[in-house]
Amino acid sequence: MDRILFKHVDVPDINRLPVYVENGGYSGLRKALTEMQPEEVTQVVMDSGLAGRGGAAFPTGRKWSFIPKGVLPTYLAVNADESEPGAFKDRELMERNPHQLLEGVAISAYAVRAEKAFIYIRGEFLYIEEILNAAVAEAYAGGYLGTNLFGTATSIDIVIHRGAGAYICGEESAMLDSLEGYRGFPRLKPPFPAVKGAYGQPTVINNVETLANVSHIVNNGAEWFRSFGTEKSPGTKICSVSGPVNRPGNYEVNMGTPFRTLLEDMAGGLVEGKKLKAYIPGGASAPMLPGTEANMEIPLSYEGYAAAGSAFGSASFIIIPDDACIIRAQLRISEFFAHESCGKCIPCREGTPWLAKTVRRIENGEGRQEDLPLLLDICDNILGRAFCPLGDFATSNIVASIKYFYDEYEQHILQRGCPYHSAASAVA
Amino acid sequence: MAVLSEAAHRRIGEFVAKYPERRSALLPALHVAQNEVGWLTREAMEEVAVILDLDWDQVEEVASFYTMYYKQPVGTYVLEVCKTLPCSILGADEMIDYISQKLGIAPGETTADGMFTLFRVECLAACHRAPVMQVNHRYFQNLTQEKVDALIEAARQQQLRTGGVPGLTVRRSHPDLIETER
Amino acid sequence: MQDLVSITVDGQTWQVPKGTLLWEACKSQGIDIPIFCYHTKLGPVGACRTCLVEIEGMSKGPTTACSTPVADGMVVSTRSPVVAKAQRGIFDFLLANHPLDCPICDRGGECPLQDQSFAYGPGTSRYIEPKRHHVKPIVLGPTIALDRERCVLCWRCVRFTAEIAEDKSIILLDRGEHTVVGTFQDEPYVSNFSGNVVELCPVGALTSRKQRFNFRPWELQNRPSVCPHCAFGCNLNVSIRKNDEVIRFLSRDNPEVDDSWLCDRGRYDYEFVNSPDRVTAPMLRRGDAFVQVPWDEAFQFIAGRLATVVEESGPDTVVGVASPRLTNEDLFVFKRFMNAVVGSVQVDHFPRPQLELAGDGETALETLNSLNASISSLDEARTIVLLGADPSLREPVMELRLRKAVNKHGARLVVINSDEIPLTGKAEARLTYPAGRLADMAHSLLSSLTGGDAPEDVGNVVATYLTEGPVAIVYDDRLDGVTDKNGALVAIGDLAAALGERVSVGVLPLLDAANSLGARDLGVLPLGGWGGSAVDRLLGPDSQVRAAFVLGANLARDIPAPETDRRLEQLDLLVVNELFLTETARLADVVLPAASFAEKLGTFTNSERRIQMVRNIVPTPGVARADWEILVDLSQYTDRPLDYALPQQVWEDIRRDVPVYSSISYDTIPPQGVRPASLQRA
Ligand SMILES: Cc1cc2nc3c(=O)[nH]c(=O)nc-3n(C[C@H](O)[C@H](O)[C@H](O)COP(=O)(O)O)c2cc1C
Ligand code: SF4
Ligand code: FES
Repeated sequence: MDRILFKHVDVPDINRLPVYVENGGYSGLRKALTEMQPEEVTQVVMDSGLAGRGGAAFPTGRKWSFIPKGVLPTYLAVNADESEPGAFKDRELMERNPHQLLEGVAISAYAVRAEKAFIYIRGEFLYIEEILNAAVAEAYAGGYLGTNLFGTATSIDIVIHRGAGAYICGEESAMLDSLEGYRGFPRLKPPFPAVKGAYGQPTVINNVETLANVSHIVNNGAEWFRSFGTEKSPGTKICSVSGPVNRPGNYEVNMGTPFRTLLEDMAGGLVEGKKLKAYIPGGASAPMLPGTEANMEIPLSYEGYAAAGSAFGSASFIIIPDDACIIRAQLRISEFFAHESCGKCIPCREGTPWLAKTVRRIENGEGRQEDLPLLLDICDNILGRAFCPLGDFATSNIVASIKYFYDEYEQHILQRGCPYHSAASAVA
Repeated sequence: MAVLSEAAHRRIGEFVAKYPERRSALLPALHVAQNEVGWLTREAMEEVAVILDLDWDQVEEVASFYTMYYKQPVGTYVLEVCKTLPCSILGADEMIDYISQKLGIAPGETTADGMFTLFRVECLAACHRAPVMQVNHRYFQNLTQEKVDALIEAARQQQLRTGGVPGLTVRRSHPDLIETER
Repeated sequence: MQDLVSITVDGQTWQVPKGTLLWEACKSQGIDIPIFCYHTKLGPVGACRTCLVEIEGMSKGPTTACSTPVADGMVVSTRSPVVAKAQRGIFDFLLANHPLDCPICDRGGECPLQDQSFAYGPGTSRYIEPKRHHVKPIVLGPTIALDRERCVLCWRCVRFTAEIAEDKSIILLDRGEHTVVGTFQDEPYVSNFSGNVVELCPVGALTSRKQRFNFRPWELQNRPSVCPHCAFGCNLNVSIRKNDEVIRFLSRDNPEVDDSWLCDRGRYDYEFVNSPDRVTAPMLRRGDAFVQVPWDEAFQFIAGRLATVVEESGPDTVVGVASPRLTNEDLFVFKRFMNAVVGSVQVDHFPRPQLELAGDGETALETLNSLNASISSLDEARTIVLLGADPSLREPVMELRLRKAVNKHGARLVVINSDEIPLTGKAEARLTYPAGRLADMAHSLLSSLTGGDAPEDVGNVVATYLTEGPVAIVYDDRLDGVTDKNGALVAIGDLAAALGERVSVGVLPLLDAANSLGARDLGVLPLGGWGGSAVDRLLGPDSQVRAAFVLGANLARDIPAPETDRRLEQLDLLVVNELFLTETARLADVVLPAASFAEKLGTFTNSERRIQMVRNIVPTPGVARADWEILVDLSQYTDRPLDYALPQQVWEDIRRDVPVYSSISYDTIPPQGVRPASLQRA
């Protein structure tokens, strides 16, 4: 099995500095700081083809290259907000091998000349805060963080910042507002964070998994990294699998591996007696796909799921079995987005609860035929009209579920009720 | 009149020192305040405002945005059960009903003895351990009715103690209650 | 020259300065794009999404015009099917939870939501879910009520309190669909600028508790005017109903002065105009009471008594005191009347700083006067010094300009005062002195500047802040509570002069009343200039004065002493022109009904010497007339009649007599007023 990020997860006490170092840890940081210029680090990351693992898959090296020269200080902000329903990969990366992240963060900070990096973890990750703080303390004591690292002029500080419950803070500019002590509202762009980010200074924002790759790329080179994955999606990807499968969890796959391998071989297939009705490949914001044979063969990659009309996103696979109600599933998704809308812009603030209320009505047996075109039209009025992508995200599964499971909606409307659940169980 | 302890002030001061701007310590400071007081009272918000050199309205504007800050009194144990899709598929709805009936309160309510508050919350990033909840912001995963019974029983027996920061301590002797899987 | 770029919108092509926001560019060309959250003075937030337009070559779909700067060659459609659909969608969302009670809404008839949903919206709502409900209206504070159901969450009010007024704020609470505006723990929203949020609110969510339900917007017409309440000279629109009733004051943006804001004192003090207590006819004293008489009878009476007094005791036993709230035209004719008709040089304005100026004091005043800066120059100042001045109290809107100068233009504010003032918190440096000891402080500053001894903190402020220009000095001309008024003025004058030799300096005085500077420029001062005082002469212990003309000045109230009343009662002739039966008017032999600022054409000179027009917007009550007209008419009963029929004619004489005004022609005073050419800097 080709593993990069999870290579050492099973090494006992890999979360402790000495064990991490014994296994080659912090050699990437030493190499970068003592043998490479920041631009060279950026270049090797660019050459590796590493793309953002937070969902948007933006080329990481290119993002770094947008940082203007000579405008100091610059900052690095690490997105560990992990709030996408179905996603729990960054949590495991931080929990099991925190130094791998810290090393990646330190190298990346060096590449963009940042002396301070913030790791923004979601508020509920109280125990992750403790793990990271312990690791950070070890790294300072070990001389891997702080001033004049390895005898060079480079100084790097890492600050752990914990949010307080808001999915929108995963959006990078809202994350910065939250970091600065404001409501997590997405910011007007331009200016982009690379020009004016945290505290008005140039800032790079990257996902945990993205940065966890960096030390390996620096150590082994771009070519090595490209030997994993596909031409367009180099590297591995950690896929979260949830739902009624035998072994739910995180699996690191070579990109390009078919979904069937992930579901059946790694996650052990659906639990006895259940069949695949549909699945969501990229967390609640990615459109669901019906569980057809063809959809079992989709290669796990950005291009693979784009071609199938969905999105690989954060590679959070939610398995929906045949005995689950699609409308109930959609209701839970729509409730999520309505709950998480920050309220800044009208289409999302007013549109997302409208969607949720309408779906709830259908699930409760009070649906009308005209509700389906209405739902689609509300989506149309949100999509591309909202201030940030959250609004768009809220529409993708409505459109997909109506497209693939129109009959189930009709059945709810015509039979005035849910064939799977009693109405009382759908309470908001 | 101060409602926050000296230790809390010190802790907030440590946060302040980490950031380029004082205001950045607002979220951490509110966590500290809530941990001490239980919820964000007016006095707690005012005190945080003074410590961070903010107007009190700036504090409430921020506090009211985030779901983890309680704007009303809560019980000693706050049970926050995930209701999002993956957990819902694996029985979260039924689990919430079960807890609700067991405690005799609807989601959003607190038991008369002030011991438990129940909330339905959105995805907790533990979907592979569904159904899942947090108790005082500690994870309790792979929930079953038996585990819930044990937890509630343990709490009632004072076998679970609340500490100051960071909240809840779980006795190792309770094998069923996995704080988290390491 | 600014760079111009060429843009094409809906087929029209024209040029606009580079960097202009697309919405502003379209607006200037008369192309209407709906907005809620954007406001010219608050900047873009891009939150409401009603201003979506299509820009060719933008792959992402419609874009917000409020936040997009124009680029050369940009081709925009504000009317394409995609845009029309997008706008319909947004209004559909807005109306989903919005009550449809326009007929009873204070904004009904002047609400963009109503207009725009009519123009762009879907017509009927497809929203069948229960609407959000809130308690309504909520009392937000002493002046403002809030209807949360009507709120569209443009957060203009929030941004105003946070960014412009920076006072205890209106904030956003909660999030998503539960977001509301409110205050910390429902504390009352108390602000000197609260009325602005009512004007900013695009819908009827925020209303003035004073004006709620008082009127229907469609009954009103707006007329331009100038606030009569202080010397800052904020521009107004006066809303009137049925051509004769003043209903409210609205701001009228003058970027050079008020920047579109008003203070609550100015905004809400308008009811006097339509008060039933106005004096509506000339009144003659008969024993203890007044009787209304025709103008002719009043004039004959005055002329007769006046002639007797002048004949028996000479013209200098007649004094005239006018209020600096009168127009330049009133004041000029008043002075003419006293000098030429009565033959007395004993004219004065009141209130004014009570100085006993010897030669050097007058020189100081001249120096300060010659350095008179424009209000907008505050935006260019490197340092702004408040020297014994509290603008928030005296000219409140200046506070907002100062905040803007600091926040937007990086000015450094230095507050030198004996007390805490609202702007203290905004100061980068502070100096304090014991109450009343302004003169000492000014001396220390001067000494430090010129290399002499000074306390260390003073020296530091001078070294850090006064060595680099431009410096703007704001001082309080009234010098209330200052022990050595003369000394203080001389020291401030010397300081400004000494500073002026080193860096570029501008001075803005805080003055007593809307036209205090006009009264000075026109020389409404007694023989002996600043040092003399017609009021002292009138009220002094061995006063020889036998007759007095008092125009709008309330001496009996403002100089409270038994002697004041006794002296005024003892006069052979006391003529008072007034709007109301004031304490002073009650002591008069004749009370003449005067026109208010809303009932006459004329000019005010504000504290930056901007000449601005007030107009006859509503008819005077009864037979009241402008003060200048009253005096012209009265003069016809003497053997030296004045010959003015129109305020324009008065102004032509002012231009001739007062050199600083000579460049200004009456007909060409623009809606936003004008400063004399000699003061306008490049
Ligand atoms: C509503 C919303 C929520 C998001 N949540 C997350 C998140 O929880 N974690 C994350 O890494 N990125 C999240 N993103 C993506 C980030 O905005 C950003 O693209 C990412 O952090 C960039 O890092 P990367 O390039 O390394 O992926 C979210 C985006 C949006 C619009
Ligand atoms: S109250 Fe008015 S100004 Fe304030 S957010 Fe609501 S609509 Fe906007
Ligand atoms: S859906 Fe429940 S933890 Fe993710």
